[in-house]
Amino acid sequence: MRTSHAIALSLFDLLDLDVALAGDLLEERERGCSAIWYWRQVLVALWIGIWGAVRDHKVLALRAVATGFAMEYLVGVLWANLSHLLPSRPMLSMSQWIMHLSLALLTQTATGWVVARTHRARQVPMVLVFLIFFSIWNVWGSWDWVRMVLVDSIDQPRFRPYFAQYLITLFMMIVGILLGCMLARRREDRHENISRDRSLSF
Amino acid sequence: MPKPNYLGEFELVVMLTVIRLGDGAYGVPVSREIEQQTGRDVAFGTVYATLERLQKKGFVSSHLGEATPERGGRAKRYFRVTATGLRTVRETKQSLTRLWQGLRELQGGTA
Repeated sequence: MRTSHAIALSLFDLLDLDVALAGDLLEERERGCSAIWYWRQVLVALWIGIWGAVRDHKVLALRAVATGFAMEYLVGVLWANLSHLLPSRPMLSMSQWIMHLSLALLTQTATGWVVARTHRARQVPMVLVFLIFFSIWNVWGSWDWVRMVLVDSIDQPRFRPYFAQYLITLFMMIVGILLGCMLARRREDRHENISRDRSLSF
Repeated sequence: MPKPNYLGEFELVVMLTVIRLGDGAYGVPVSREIEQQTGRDVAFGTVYATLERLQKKGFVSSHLGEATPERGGRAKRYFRVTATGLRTVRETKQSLTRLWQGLRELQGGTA
């Protein structure tokens, strides 16, 4: 229970939610509420935290989405110019695929980092908003292909690796964006600690 | 003319609950009282978001209380209705009462 509470606390901390709320939930959990009840409450609180930040800062949220897609455009241009150096679809060898994945992770980490650094006041909610839009855009853009491979994968096992490749690549891109956000946040925290130490030493 | 203060339906429920609980109004009892009185299953996150909104409007104030071991060392946040909040609740009640009066469909308690 301590581990799950620690995870919930760090999530609350990421979204700058009231720590008293975390205490209330733990108090109820200690009184016998189930783990399902606890996690449902945590998820609702997180959702309200994200949605509240977006509702209160609509312009900032729009800017975060625009910044993220501008980065994606830059990455796209770079990719288009360098793609002849890289192997292409339909099916890549394992080493080629790992290279593709590493590049996707790297570029998406950069995107997440830029979005977080340019929206310091509400880093996590803004990156999450961009992430939602990015995921929808990504799936929407390749929907015909995804649907075809998904349908074919049901009765023809040879198509399953294609679908798995797509899902893993999408997952790695999402991880990359979140990683970029975490890196930007760590940098912020370090700067805050240094400034606090300096102010204390004077 | 001063801008009138409005309370949404759930905001009014939370305000009345905080008034009812007095000095002991923090997240857990507020949520429990709402569940008990209205029969609604409320999420703590929703109650906190509403209280935060009410605090921004100046209808409630809050202070941190004691931290206990069963709360993992986290302090309780106690809420109290401000004078502006009390006035707003009264005004909301008056508005609702005026709307209620003379509605034949709602008389007799069968509708």
